[in-house]
Amino acid sequence: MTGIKVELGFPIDLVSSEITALLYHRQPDVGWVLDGGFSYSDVGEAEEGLLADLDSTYPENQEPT
Amino acid sequence: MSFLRVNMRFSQQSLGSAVNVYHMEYNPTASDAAILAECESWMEDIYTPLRSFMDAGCQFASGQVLEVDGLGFTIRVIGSIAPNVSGTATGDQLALPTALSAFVRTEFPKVKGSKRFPGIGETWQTDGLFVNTIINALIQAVLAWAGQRGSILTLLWTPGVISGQQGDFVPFEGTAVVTNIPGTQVTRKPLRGQ
Repeated sequence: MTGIKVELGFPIDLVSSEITALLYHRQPDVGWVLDGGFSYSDVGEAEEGLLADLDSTYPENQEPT
Repeated sequence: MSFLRVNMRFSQQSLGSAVNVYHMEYNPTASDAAILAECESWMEDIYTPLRSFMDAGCQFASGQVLEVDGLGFTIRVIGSIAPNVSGTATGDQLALPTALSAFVRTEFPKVKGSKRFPGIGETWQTDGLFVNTIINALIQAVLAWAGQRGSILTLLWTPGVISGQQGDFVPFEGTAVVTNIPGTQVTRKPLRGQ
């Protein structure tokens, strides 16, 4: 298992609807290391896409079966 | 200038209770009925993604909406809300002090809104960390919590925090952080601190 962090950027003005997500993992003795960033055109797309991106980036953190 | 505070209390049966508090700047022309309706809708938007991960023993107990000033002092009680936000998950619950955690930044580096969502089921953690599925739900909840509501052309409802450092309400600035590392919450014994 990996300690992960998602830093979200979201619109507060209602003009733009783009959601951004930066994914980090926790590295021992180093701290948070940036793995990559994603952007989504709206909240609905982010709800679908973020889980897929998390699963592809951190497969060991998927829902237990 | 006045603001809204929403106190959401959850009962965890014989274990005690948990409280989440939210603040929002609102359109002062709105009626009390419109404020209560908006707050109820806001709470359901926040908790709906989380309910299936919250234990069925974590039940909504009360929701109170207050008008407060910039220092957080109560001006008046606007009313009560009863959103549909109780947990529905079966199985074991994580230890009571364990919670989903997130924070939202403001323009002031040391001023941020933090939230600990209670009653999470044990199924959703492995080796002490939350799984991706619940992180995704937490992201949805945070976007609902911290995103501006309403329409520019009609009503604007802006979430934020009452800052002791700034001595005023501070709106969120559009970035938030969630993590799969469980957070902790202060717990209360029944009838203590109420």
